[in-house]
Amino acid sequence: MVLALSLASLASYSCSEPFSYGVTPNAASTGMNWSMGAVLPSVPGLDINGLIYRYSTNKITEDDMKVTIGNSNADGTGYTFRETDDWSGLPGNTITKKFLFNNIPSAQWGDGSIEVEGKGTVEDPLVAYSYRVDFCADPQTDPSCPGYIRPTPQIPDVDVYNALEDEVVVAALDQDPDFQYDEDGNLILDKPEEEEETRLEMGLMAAENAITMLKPQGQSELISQINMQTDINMYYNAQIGGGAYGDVNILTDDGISDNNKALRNNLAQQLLHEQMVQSQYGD
Amino acid sequence: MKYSAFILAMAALPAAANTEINGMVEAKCVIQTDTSGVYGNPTADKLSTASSDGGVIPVVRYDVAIADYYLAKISHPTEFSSSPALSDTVTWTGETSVSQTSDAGMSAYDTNKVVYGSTTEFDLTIAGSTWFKTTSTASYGFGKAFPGGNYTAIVVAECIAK
Repeated sequence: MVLALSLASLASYSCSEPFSYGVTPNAASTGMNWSMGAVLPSVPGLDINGLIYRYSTNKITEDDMKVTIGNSNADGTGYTFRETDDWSGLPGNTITKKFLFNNIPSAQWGDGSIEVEGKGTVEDPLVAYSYRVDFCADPQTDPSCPGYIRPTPQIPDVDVYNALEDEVVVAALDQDPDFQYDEDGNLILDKPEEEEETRLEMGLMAAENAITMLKPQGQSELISQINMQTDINMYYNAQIGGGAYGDVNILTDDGISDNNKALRNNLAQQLLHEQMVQSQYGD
Repeated sequence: MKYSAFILAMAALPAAANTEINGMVEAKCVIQTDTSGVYGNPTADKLSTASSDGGVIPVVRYDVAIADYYLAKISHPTEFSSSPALSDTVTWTGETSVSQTSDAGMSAYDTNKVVYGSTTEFDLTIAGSTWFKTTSTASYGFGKAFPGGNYTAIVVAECIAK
């Protein structure tokens, strides 16, 4: 139980410290000048918190010699780090120095170099940078990072068709006659103009009605005759495409062979029949 | 009754208190073993720390916080601290020199060192770290083979206030 609690505590600690640390290989292994891009790991959130250098000088004690180790600023103005060792009047030896920095971002570090001024040479130089990587420099790299925002899926843009913005539709709508609406906004439908019936028409209608009433059978027959005339004309006028349809199926067999299975069946039936007949004479 | 007597006694005594003053002096000179030495055995009668003899040169580091207050005093071995029984004399030679420095000016320590007997003394005039290496060679008898066994010798490094 104690172990479990301890592990939980460790996990919490590692979550709250999203850093990892490391040391670069020897930046001066290939020469007296180096690019930080080739020395530092290419990861975001990297800053340098220390530097250590060591080299040996080969010189005559009486000679003047200065050795300067430094990094220029990334923008080329001034230096991010610069240290000079004055070996003038001193015998050659090996020097080791280390420096601590307050986490200077890697982007500020320009190219590094070892410069020798005076007589003497630098041998076996070693320059190594210690660095820190902040994995939460971009909070979106890990959900446990502070400031992490859960990503939302990208919603594709959908063009919504608005018929009222369609020029063709609008043009079509413009052709419609003007509608009229009442005070409540309801469409006023056009009423067919009712013809005012004149007194003469009224009189004729009355006369027709009187005739109709007197001859109801005749009118019905008249309508029936009209309908019959109409229906018959439809058939008279219709034309059905026709032609001759010749036979196409031809039986090529000249005979049908006997079915052997049927023959066997017949024989079996016959045999059974005979057995039945003979059975009445038995015993 | 005893209580009353106690009160009287207290009243009769003069007030007194002892107050301590504590002080912590951090070490201004620290010696660390940087590399442990190993004897090589190039010939039957010789033990040597030289790398050419198959040995490893021991290195000690002096970290001095303030300048010009200390002397480094390093002695190479003159006897084995442990070894098989030896019936003949051992001839000892050795040398101590500056191996690395944290300041170019410390390279002058070698020039200004004082050697007496098996001891080498350096004046630590600059604050910082200085690495000292000590070579040691032991020759047994007059071309006599060392008996088989484990040999141990000690380099003594001291930091002495001036």
